[in-house]
Amino acid sequence: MEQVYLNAAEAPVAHARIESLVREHQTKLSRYVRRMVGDPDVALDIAQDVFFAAYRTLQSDPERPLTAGWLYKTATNNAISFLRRKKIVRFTPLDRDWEVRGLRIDERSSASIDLQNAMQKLPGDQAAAIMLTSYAGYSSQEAASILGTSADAVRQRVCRAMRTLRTVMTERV
Amino acid sequence: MRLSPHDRAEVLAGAITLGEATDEERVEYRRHLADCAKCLQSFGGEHELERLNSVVQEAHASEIWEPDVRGPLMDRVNLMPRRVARYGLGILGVCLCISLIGHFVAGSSFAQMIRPALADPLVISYEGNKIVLEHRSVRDEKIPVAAQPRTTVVEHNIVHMAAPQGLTKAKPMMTHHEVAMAVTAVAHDTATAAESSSTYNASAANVPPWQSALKKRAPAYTGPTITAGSARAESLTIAATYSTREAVPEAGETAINPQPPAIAVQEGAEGTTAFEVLIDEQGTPTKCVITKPAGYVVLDETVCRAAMSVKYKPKTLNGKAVPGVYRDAFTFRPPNQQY
Ligand SMILES: [Zn+2]
Repeated sequence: MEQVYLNAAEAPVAHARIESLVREHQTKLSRYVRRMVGDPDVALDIAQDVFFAAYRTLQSDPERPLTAGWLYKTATNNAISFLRRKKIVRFTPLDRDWEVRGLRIDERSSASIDLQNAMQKLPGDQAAAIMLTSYAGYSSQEAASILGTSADAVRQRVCRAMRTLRTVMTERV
Repeated sequence: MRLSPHDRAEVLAGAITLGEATDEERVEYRRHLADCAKCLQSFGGEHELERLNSVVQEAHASEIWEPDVRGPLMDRVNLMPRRVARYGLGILGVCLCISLIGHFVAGSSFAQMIRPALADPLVISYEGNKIVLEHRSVRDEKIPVAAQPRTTVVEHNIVHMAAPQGLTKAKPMMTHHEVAMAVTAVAHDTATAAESSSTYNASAANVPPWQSALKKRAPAYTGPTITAGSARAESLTIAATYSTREAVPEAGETAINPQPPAIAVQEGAEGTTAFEVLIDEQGTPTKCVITKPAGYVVLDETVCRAAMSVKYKPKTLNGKAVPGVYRDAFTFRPPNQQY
């Protein structure tokens, strides 16, 4: 059983650093996770867990550099493992209107709905690839280091994810 | 390991989608498509790849959700035990302690403060970089996030529906000619129309709401703990939306002229239909999406039919025609209402 020592003396440093990390990244990271998991409540839980994990890490080593990449890596892993668990009970809607209402996103632009429809059909690795690059703006190389794979693998996943998006959009015309 | 030609084409297509491909790679992709109908059909050419990328970026730019992670997180952080936390059984002990304290001071404000901890066990284990969570925090203890209204849809076209003299509800269906007469006036509010047109012109002074939101977000990514990568990531997004002119009807905003059928007038149908039309590079509308229904399907259909029958000026990005979206709204009101 793992054991973690929390050093009370170092808490203020960790506190200040986590505050600034949250302020800086909470919106973008939560939105990213919401797109991945398709549910704002789950996204908030995951985002909170990511920052909490960051806090625990900073408590044991307040000087440790925690980059945006670290946060995204942790968030992506959590989102993908959530999707894996969810897949077992995933409901396949037949009615498109229901599907649109079922997409728990506030944005009702067609781009937003098309993207979310595609996201629901994508395996986790493709969803993460398209979200980190096209959506969040990382290069395929940066996304590759977040996902622990090669840039070419990211590009290939982006291509396959875009093919699904294209199919979703064609079906809807 | 060598990739198969199709796998290689997928890698190239991904690079082109993300704007990372070199000229040589673009040529290589074109050559593959010339020989491979299958890849052409499933991925499309370079324009198609770029269009799909712009859909994703548009979705990103339209985000309105403002999550609050900080509040619940800080509650959780402040409630952490200061000594040694043990996973598994240790957690149970911590929870038990907290619940005992809670029991003694129940009813006081201190009890209110610590209560979230009772339902929020610190069960986290690490597997390399992966964090496995066994319990989730309880949802209803989070601060609810109110959805913010969209600001891009402008209500500016008021369609007054006037029934012709002598038309009563008892009268059966009207002829097509009478239908055309049923709508007598399309009043156009110029003040709000001007406001609306500014929404779609990305000049320095009139930045669309989503674009200014993007710019507001940008400084958040220049902080000290940020890698060069993420700063670049943000600037990429901004660069992509630089020098944009949105799609508009060729004959101006009054070109779209919905004509509700007689039945709508008879039923006293009213409401506001907000919609979006997807415009391709040629200015042809390809799809109409109702973003806010009027409450009467017939009115929504009328609006989409009118919007789809008009020719548009395509959206331009740095002077180049690209697929775009035209957003607008129509309000239908019976003629006797003055507001
Ligand atoms: Zn091929």
